[in-house]
Amino acid sequence: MTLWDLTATAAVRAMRSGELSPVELVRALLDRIDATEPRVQAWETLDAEGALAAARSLEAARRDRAPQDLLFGLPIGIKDVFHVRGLPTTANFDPYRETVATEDAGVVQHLREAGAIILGKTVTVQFAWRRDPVKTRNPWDLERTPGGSSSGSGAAVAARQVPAAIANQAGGSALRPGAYCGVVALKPTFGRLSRYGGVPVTWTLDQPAMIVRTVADAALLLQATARHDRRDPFSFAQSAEDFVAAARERADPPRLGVVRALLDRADPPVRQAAEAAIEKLAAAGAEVTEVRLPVSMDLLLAIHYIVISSEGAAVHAEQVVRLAEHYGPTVRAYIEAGHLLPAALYMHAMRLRRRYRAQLIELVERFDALVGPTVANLPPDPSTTGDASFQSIWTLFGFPNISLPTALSPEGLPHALQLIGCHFGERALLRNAAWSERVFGALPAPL
Amino acid sequence: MRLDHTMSRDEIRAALEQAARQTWGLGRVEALRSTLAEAERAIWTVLQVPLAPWSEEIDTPTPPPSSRGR
Repeated sequence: MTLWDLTATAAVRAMRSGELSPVELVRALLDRIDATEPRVQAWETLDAEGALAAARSLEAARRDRAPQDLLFGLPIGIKDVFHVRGLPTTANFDPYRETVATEDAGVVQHLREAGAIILGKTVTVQFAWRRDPVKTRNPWDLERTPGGSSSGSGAAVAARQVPAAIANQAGGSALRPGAYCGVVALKPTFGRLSRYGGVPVTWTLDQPAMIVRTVADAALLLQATARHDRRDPFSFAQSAEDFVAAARERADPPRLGVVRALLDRADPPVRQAAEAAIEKLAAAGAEVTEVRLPVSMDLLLAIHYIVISSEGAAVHAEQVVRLAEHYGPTVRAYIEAGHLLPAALYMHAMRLRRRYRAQLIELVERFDALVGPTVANLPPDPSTTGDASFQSIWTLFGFPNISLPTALSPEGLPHALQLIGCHFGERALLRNAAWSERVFGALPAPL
Repeated sequence: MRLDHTMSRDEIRAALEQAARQTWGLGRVEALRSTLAEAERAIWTVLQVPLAPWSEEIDTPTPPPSSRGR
């Protein structure tokens, strides 16, 4: 087996059985990073020493007892907005580069408790917000963006530098890199995963997410990280659910609501690819019904803009004055503009958000999942990280959604569909995503 | 700064630019121009939707589990 090409599920299975050593896998991935990183530039901080030490420790423990850990030995990348003990959390902001985290973020703690190994920190757009360009390139075409703000996580998984990476999303920052990089991205329900311990974008939108190779991998990581954390005031107290089993279940073909607004707004090649993918799902037995959003997409995006701008401005209220020269031009502009929005406007947006939340819930609950293109366009040039609108409207209401690669364009760039599920309905979402994944098949490795 | 639904888009834009000058200084207005255009569009769009007085609550971010989540 080519070690760097193992999915998270296959790697963990091999390490738990003793067929593969955690040290062997970490070394193989470090070699892979050496070979590809000059082109991809996905990593902000690589902790080779720490990862090898953790791998040796797991290997020694395995000599005493058979490993039961859910993620035994799995190397994972962490977006550089989450704290990892002993490493800097830069958020791609120069003044933070020398400050080392003294504790793990909640999601990182949960990963380690499940036996995962932290390989390092992946590149983020500054403060995980807006579209200031980053150094990371798309493994499918090095002259294109991998998307953002979880740029490094998307590129690292696509380039097979690591089987899985943690991202986050307040607009479209996990699903867009997943789509542009031709891999799977899952953003769970708001409140599923701990948001404790890192640099926030906002308070009411942010949610950790995962970028992986397969739906089964997404289920595996969700199994390990869907845990209550009382340090996060929005963390949901949840009972244990078997996401791994859900992704394996042989489901009936799903009833899908196709979101017309996404198709109408997509660039023609993306629309055609999405329609072809949806036709494939229908031919395989899915019941497909076109649906219209109960409210205009422009209004939903306007509400999202006001919420993210107001809350994001508040996060940076003091620092943007004190350290303005270190801010990227786009994120600084959005923070400064956010400061101008009156509180009454934010409250107006939050009241509309509640009103439309009920209407969107009603729509989502009519189907097994809603479906549409994940992104409006193929990956653009690296001066931008792309358009978040197709993802933001779901993030606004905290719905879980998952992006699946479907096919390659004539230029060899990935197309993707997203499925949107009910709040805390990840088992059904993963079951239906796995069914859809079997229809589309897997894309090859880009490098 | 007070904004309301009776204001035209130009009036909203002018209010934002004045607020930007007062808050961040004249030197930042040009840098903020395209961002303020985006803000104006969002503000105008949201303000066109009236609220039911008193009775509409604000959103709370943690949603209840769906009755269909399974």
